[in-house]
Amino acid sequence: MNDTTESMGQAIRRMTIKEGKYLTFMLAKETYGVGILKVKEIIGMMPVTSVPRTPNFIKGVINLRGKVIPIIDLRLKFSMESIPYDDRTCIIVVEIDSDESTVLIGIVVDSVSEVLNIKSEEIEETPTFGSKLDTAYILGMAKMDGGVKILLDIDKVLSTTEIQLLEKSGG
Amino acid sequence: MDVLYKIEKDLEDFSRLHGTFCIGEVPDIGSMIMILDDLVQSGKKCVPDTFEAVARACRTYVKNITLEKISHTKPIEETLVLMKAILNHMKRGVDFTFETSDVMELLSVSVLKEDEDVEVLESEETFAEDPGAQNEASKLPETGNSTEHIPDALEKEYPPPERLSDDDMEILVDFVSEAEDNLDSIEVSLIELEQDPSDVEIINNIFRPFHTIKGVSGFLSLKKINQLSHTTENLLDSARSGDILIDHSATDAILESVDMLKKLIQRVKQGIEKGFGPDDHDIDAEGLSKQLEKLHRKLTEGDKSLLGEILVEKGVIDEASLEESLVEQKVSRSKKIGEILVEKKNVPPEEIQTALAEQKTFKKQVDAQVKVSTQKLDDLVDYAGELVIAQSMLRQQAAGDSSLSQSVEQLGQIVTKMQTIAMSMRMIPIRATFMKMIRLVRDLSQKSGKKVELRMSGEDTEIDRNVVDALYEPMVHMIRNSVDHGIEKSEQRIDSGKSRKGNIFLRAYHKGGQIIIEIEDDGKGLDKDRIREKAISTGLINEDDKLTDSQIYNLILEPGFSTAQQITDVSGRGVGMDVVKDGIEKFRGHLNIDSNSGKGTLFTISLPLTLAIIDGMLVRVGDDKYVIPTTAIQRAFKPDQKNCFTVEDKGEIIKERDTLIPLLRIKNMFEEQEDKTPPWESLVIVVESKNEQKGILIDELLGKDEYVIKSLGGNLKSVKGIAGGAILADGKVGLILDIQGLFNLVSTTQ
Repeated sequence: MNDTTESMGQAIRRMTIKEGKYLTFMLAKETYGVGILKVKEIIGMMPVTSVPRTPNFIKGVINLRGKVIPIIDLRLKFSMESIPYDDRTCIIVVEIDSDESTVLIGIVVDSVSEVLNIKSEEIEETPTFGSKLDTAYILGMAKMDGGVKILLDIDKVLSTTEIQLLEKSGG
Repeated sequence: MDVLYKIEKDLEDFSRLHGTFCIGEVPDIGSMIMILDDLVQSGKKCVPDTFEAVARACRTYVKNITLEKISHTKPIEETLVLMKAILNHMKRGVDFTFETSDVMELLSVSVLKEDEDVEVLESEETFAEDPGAQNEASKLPETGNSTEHIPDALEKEYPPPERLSDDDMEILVDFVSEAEDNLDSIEVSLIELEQDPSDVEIINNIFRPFHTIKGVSGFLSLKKINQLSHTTENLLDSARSGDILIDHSATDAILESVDMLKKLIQRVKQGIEKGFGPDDHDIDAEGLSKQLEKLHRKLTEGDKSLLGEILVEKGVIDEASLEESLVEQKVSRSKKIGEILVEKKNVPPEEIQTALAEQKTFKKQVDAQVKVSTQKLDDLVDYAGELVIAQSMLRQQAAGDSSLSQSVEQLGQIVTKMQTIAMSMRMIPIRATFMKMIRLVRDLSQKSGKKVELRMSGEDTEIDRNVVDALYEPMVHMIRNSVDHGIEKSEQRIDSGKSRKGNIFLRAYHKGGQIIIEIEDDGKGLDKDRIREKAISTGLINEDDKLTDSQIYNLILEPGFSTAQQITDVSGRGVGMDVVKDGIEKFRGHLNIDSNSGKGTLFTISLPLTLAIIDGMLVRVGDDKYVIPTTAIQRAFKPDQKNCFTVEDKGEIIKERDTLIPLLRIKNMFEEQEDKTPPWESLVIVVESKNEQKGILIDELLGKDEYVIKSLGGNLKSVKGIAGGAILADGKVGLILDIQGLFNLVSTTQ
């Protein structure tokens, strides 16, 4: 009995945690969202120095006001077809919880749309799509008038272990 | 309880008023005095009269502000803190047994004598300053044989340490870090004082930190620390005013007190980690305090008043009246010799003043310092670098517009200056580390019974603070080794025609963009044959291996190597030199040993000036730019076609001056694309790591510069072959090659 109430509470909490403000952006024709608290800043595309022996979705590193931060192309990360960068292309600098501290990582997206306030009743659990699609890093789907937004758990998308694993297989 | 509540409320009002107070705002002063009146009234109802006295003194002080006799509000601030501390103690029902005299002194300093209140205050002050009474009060909980202080006696059942609130925690953390710094500085000054016991400036340098520790520990209710630092301070105060001379026994006692305080502060630290107040019941600070007092008394009696001597010398008084006054001083100990002389009308007060001034002709060191977190410093360095880049971009855009480019030039000068300062802020003199060695040598020479003197030079050499921290451990090891293995016993030294005292030289200087630290002793030197023997017996080398002297010396850097015949407390466990070597190499440094049998040993540590910056050569390979650390670069040349050879059409080698150099192609290694440019059309840079040489093919040398090493950030910390990133002049990121990493790549994949 106790167990069920607890898990119910946890489920509710999980739902309410998802509620909040999201920065939405476009990738191909899909709209994605990341929690606004994760976003440090949005910058235009700038020269990227590629780093050898890293997975292809790691575009390289940039100089963000004296700090060197890695850049990840989200299209490549999601195995989507890559397109040439244009003036709509943006780098969203996000803060990722790493083992010891937080690290800054830039993600390249087609364009940045807007900041949306998403309520918990608008968020639905992620459906499963079979083995073709890993949904572990999707928080949920938000049904809005404008269509469906895919809410990303950016920490999981860019998890340290995954990149390190890829690094090893790549090298 | 109501009284305490009222006091608390009044104090809150008072601190609010004080916070917004400006000199000259009479209405505010009016309300302040009203509150203080209330506080004095409430204070009368409280058991210890300390609170009332403090409130009274404060009221007098504020009144004096009204009369425009004083213009400082600092004493009021201090009083507020003190009153709050007393209130806290009253709330807990514990006696407030700490020094109030400092604040009282502050408050009374500019108050005119005729005021009644001041006299009340002064009697209070003398009470608090009397070390005997002070101790009696704070001793009670431990001894528990007092009949008057029954609640205190009950405390013998040591109460468990109190849980700390977040606020307390913060203050305590600050206190601990400050006290640790202070104690270190005391140690250094003490040793200096031993050389010159009459130097008032050094005494002051010791006195001040003790004073700070005493003050802060008082407010934080750290009784033992407070008490111990108080007695030590008293002793130093007498030395400061010239009443006593700090001799060897006093130095030892003060050092002991420093050690004890360190122990106590360690407890506070441990307490903080657990979130509780310090648990220090097992540490007996009492005995040491008593010892210090006894010493204080002995020194005061044994020594003639230095002030008196000055006066005699000046012919103001004669020997006889000085003796007389000294006898009197023994009777009424609390008075100073000067006061007695004036009272007896022997000397006009002005003469005492000038004599006192003469006694205190020390230069006051004015080096106001601010503590800044290294993170902030690093950020500043980053931004300064970024500013340089932004400015160079601006300069390009301003080309053609003469007035604009003039302004940009001006900006450039400021930016450059700022960057230099930002960089230099990370640098600190190595003095602090050297000074710690003095204490070490002193202790070691006492323990081993050898007479050793440490001579230093170049203590002001500046070095990156991370490197300074890293140097401490290796230096301790090496100095221990020198004292234990190097320096001989006195008799042996005299037999071999050396001075009785052993010498250890510690030198620091800059040389060719590196910092060199030398540790030299004039002991017996390394025993080549014994090292060889030992190395053979442990299987490090073979019997018939032929080694140069320097190779033999370097054997002692191998793990588990110790030739000491007997394990001593000081060293000889066979861990040491290999740790030293690792520690230094971790910071891209180098350790060299040179020894002369019978004459001594010289250890030379060379380290890069800073860990954050490397000297690098910028090279172009295809469209990419890389930085190669100059330390790794041997030479660069354009090879002749006839000297280029291939192995199985894949591996490439170049013959140069009778050596074969394997070639590396960065593109092939990094981008998995075939780079087929013939070697004779590009440049070869020969790089070395761990005595292995390889050539790297590049297209162009772009120049040599200093680069700030930056982590690639995120999850890219361990990319093989890349040591990090550097911001290039054009604002883009360049990759710094890790030569050893590159070599490893080749040896595994090819």
